[in-house]
Amino acid sequence: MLGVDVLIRGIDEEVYARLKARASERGLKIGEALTEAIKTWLKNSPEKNEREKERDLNIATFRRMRRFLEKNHKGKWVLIAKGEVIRLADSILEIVEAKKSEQLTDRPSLIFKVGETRIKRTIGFNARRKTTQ
Amino acid sequence: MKEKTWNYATPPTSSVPAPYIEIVVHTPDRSLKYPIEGTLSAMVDTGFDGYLIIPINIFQELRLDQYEVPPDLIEVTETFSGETIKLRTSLAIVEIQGLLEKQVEIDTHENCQEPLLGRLFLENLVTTLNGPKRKTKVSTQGELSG
Repeated sequence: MLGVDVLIRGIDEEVYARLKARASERGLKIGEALTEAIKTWLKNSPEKNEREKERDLNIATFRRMRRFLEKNHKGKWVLIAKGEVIRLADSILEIVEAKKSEQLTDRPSLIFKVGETRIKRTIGFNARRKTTQ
Repeated sequence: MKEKTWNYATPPTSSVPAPYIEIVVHTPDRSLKYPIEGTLSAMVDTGFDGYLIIPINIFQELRLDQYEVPPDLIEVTETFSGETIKLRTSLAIVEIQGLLEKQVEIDTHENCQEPLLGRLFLENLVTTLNGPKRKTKVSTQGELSG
């Protein structure tokens, strides 16, 4: 298999020293050991599914449009889907209806009231405790 | 006055029985509900100041990412011990069958193990905890005396 030459900056010095020593112990070149490490990382870091990618797109749209919406449409409900602002409405019911009429049922969407939706939570002991078995 | 009563149950994270309320969660358009049959037991947790927090598998099963609040509008959430938790919040309808239906914000996070009803939801109910009999009674009207 053909390899590529890559210059990588910013690798932690101690991590690199340990990689180099471990590769040497196993009779591997640095490139071979790194390829093995990258394969393991890729295996354990599954690619985001389409739904998660669409959610990310919606979040990016929110960030791009937030200031404009807060300046011009304060108090309106907003529906963001497919990476676009789909509807501005006076009520959440209109947003729910818009999701149906725009055939967005089951598509990841962001919904909020401009300038008013703000979530602030304090969570007690139970909500954060993991069950140990 | 409408009222309902449930027995305490033992939560998965403790050996001490705790008050539970039986609920059903619907998406805002009512196209999905959880559970499909029966009810979901949610522990009463006055240490949580939201409406309802559910495990992420229920959040996903209800496909609540269809009605999600932008994460930038969710302030960093702190536990009493000072830890910060990344929350996801969506709009949904919580029903106590025959008693109450309310559109609320529902939260989830990766470490949430069981549904918890918090103080914002309890503001809609008169809740009486009978410790000796291990019973939780809720109603939607009336005042507690004394």
